[in-house]
Amino acid sequence: MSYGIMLAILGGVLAALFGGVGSAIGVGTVGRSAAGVVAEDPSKFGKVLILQVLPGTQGLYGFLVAFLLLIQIGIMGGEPLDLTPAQGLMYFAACLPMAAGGLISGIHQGKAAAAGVALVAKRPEESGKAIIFAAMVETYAVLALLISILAMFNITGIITAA
Amino acid sequence: MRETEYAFAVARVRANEPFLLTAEEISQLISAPDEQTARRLLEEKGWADGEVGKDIYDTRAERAWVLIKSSVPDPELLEAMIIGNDFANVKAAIKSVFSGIEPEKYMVYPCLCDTAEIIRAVKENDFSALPDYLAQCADDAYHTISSGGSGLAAEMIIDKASLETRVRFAEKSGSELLKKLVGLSALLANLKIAKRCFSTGKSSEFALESMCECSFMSNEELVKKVYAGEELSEFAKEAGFECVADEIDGDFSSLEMKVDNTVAQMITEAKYETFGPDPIVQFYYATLSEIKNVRIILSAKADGVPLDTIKQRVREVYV
Repeated sequence: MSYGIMLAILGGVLAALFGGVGSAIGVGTVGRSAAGVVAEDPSKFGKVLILQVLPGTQGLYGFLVAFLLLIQIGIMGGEPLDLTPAQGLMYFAACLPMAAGGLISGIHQGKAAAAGVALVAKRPEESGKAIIFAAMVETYAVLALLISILAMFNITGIITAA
Repeated sequence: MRETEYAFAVARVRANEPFLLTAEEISQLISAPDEQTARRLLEEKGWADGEVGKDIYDTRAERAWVLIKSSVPDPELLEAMIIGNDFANVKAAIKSVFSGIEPEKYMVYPCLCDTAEIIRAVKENDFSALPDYLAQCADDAYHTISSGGSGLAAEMIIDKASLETRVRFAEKSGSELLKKLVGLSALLANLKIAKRCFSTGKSSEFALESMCECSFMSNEELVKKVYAGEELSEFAKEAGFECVADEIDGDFSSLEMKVDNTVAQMITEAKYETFGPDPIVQFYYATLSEIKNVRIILSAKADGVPLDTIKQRVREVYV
């Protein structure tokens, strides 16, 4: 197996890994806050659960990028492309936005959602606003996902054309 | 400790904050025609009767502490908030025993050291079973009185040990808010001692000996300025208490009021924090502030104090 394919796979691994780590930390943080509120008022479970789910998307995005990459480089079909180190590095770089964006946005979305849980605890009628505040962080995870996918598909186009 | 470790505890106290009295409810209490009506309003807000031997104020504070203790990752870090009650209990026990009255009803809660153990230690003059932070000062205070010294001297020994212990415990808490709050108490106490000693003709050495030692202010400088009649505003600023610099040279009740309102302001600022120990400290002090207000209002109602005077005495309300 070539160094090129190894670099490409490493990129996919980082996207899935850091996206997952970001989500795990984020969801864990909100989970602690949510448990605190539910311990006092179990009727707020539904409202805080929505907030807890929000930072979980980064892990899914990372998984999606890694999955698409494996398809693009032929690993999923059992016929891996013969990539040069430069081509492998291009795929690797394409995965980095999702890796970094997933990690950082996951952690911070968790903190924003935990603050939202505290808001719900004090003013349950404001739960919609709490969700909006936390969802704003999602924008940057989505942007990272888009740029990683766009870069990956275009790199495949360049390689195929060459 | 990572700030997010407090997420569970912060959420629990946030869920309990709506049960604190609001400014509007405090106004209703003040406007109540008599004490009975005020008590009834309190009952509607969940102020239940205290357990046996404890009044409603102690029960309220103890509930808040139990909530905090069962939620934070390491309750020991926040013991500075209640450790002063142990010293108050030692003081009450010594005074009661020497006056020949039962000390139980003078105990305050929540506290760290079992009150029965404190009472037993004082009655048997054996302080070895008390925690280290308490044993020495309890022994000193007891022997000061038993050897013919004044009750005031014993009180000063306990007060000094209490403040020094609170400052020491606050330093290790990791809460900036708690450090500032305890620091303000230390400043106020030391200033009170210096001014009292000066006005009663006591020596500056005696004043210094009675004052709580803190790393953030120079007691020597404070005593020097008080005895020389110099202004203290610069001293307050240098010690990090700019908030009371304008009032520190005025009359003491204005300064006390300012300190109380500064504490309320600090507490209010901390309510926008989401993580860390500060929101927990904020909740406990908000509870104490609420208790103080209710105590003022009920006592005033019982004594028939006019509405305007009650409003003047009531401190700023958090929530």
